Amino acid sequence: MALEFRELRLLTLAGIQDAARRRIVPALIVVCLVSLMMVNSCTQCSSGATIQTQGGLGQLDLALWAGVGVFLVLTFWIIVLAGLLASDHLTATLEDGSALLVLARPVSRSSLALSRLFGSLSISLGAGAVLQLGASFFLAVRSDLNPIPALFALMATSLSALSVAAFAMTISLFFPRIIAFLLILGSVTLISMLNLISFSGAELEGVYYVLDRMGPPFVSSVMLALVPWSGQPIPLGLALETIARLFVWAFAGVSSLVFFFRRLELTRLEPL
Amino acid sequence: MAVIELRGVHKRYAGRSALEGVDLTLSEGSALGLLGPNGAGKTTALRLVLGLLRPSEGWVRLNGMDPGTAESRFGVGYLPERLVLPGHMTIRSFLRLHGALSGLAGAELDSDLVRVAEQVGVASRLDDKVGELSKGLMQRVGFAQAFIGAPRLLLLDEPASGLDPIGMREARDWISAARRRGCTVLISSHLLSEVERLCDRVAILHEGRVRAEGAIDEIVREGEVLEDAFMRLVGSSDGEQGI
Repeated sequence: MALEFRELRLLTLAGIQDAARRRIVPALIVVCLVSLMMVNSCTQCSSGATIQTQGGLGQLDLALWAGVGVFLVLTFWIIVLAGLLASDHLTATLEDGSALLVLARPVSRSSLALSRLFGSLSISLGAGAVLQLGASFFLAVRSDLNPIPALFALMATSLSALSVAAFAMTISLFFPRIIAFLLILGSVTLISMLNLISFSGAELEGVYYVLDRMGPPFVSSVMLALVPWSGQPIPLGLALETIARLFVWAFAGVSSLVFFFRRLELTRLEPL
Repeated sequence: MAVIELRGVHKRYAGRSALEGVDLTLSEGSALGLLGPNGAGKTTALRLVLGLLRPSEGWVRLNGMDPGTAESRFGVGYLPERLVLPGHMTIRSFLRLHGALSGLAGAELDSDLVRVAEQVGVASRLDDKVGELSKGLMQRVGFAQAFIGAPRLLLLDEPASGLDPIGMREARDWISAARRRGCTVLISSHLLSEVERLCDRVAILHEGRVRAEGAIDEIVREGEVLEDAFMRLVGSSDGEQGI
C-alpha cells in the first residue's frame, strides 16, 4: 500500500508536468483572463449601472442572481474543460508508447490511470479555482456577497469535474478522442439543461425526469451551494440526495476508469 | 526456478493469430534469444510476459506470478523495440523517475542513477533534455532505465536498434556484465550474431509457433551456423526477415 501511494505520487507529479506542457494551457490562461474580465464586467452592479423598477429586483437581488448566473456558466465551462483535457491524457501515453516503460515497472494500472486523471484535473481544476475564486472575490468586494457559498460551489464543481474527467478518460479507452469529447459534451449539456429546467419549477417527465433526478447533479449541486445567494429554499431531503449523488457519481467515474483500464488489452502501445 | 513460463499460449487479435500454442521456460540466470522474422510474434510474447496483453488461451507466469500483478514485475528491466522517451525531461529526471518506480529511494537512487549513467556513457549529459538527444543516445538512455535498480530479469526487444557498431559492441558488454552478476536475460532480436554471442539458448518463432528451442548447438546442425539453421526453420520465401 505504501509503495502504491509512492508510485501514485511519483506518477501524478509526472502527469501534472505532462498536462502543464500541453499546447492548450497557454490558450487556457488567456481564456481565464478574458473570462475574469467578463466576470468583472458582469459583477459591476453599482448604483449608477442599474435602474430600479417598481416590483423588479433590488440591487442586492440583482447582484445575487448575477453571482448565481456567473457561477453556473463557470461551472459548465470547468466541467466541459475537465472532459476535454481528460479525453486524451491517458490514451496519448498508450498511443505514443511511453506508458510501456511505466507499466513494465512494478506499477499497477490503477496507479497509472489515476495519475493521468489527477494530472489532467490539475489543469482544469486550477483554471476552475482561478475563475470561481476570482468571481467570488469580485462579488464579495463589489456587492458584499458572502464568499462561503462560492467555496461550496467550487467543491461541488470539483467533484462534478472529477466524475466527468473520469468518464471521459474511460470512454477514450474505447473510442477516438473526438467521439469521447462529443459524448461528454452532449451529456453534460443535456443534464445541465435538465437541472436548470427542474430548478425553474417546470415538471420533467419520463427519461428526462430520471436523468435529472438520478444523473450527476452538475447544476443542481451548485444551485444547492448557492442557496444563501439565490434564497431559493431546497428541501433537506433533496439537498442530502443531491450531495450523495455528487459523491456517488464521482466514485462511479473513478471506479469505472480503474475497472476498465485494468482489464484493457493494451494493444494501442506501439505498432505490433 | 523458472523466472518466465509460457504454457500453451495462444494469442489472437481480431481473428488473426499472433501466437499458437507457445511453450517457453526461462530459468534463473539463463539467457534466451527469441528469434524470428517480422510478425513472428516476438513482441507479442514479450508483452504477454509483462502482462500488457493477456493470452487468449494458456497461461503465463513471471517470477511465479500472474504478470498482470505489479508485484510480478519487481526486479524487471525492460527495453522496448520502439523507445519513446518524454522529450521534456532531462536524462536525470527520467532516470530518477524510473529508479524510484523500481523501488529505489534516497542515496541508493542517486548512486544507482550515476552508476547506470556512467555504464552507458551518458553521465556527462545527465542534465540534457531527452528530446535533444540523437537516436543512439536515446537508446543508451533506454538501456540506462532498463539497468537502473540492478534488475534480476532483463527483457530486451531489439536492443541494438539505433546503435552504431561501437554502441552495439558496448551494449553487448553491458548485457554480458548483467549476465555475469546473475541476471536472467530474454532478448528478442533480428541480429542472429548478437543473440549467438549473448545467449546460451534460442527459441525460433515463425508464424506464431516455436519452430525450435534449445541450446544453440542443439539447433545448429553439423556444418551450419545459426543463420543457416534459422533459414532452414523459417524459410526464406517472404523476404521480410532480417538477419
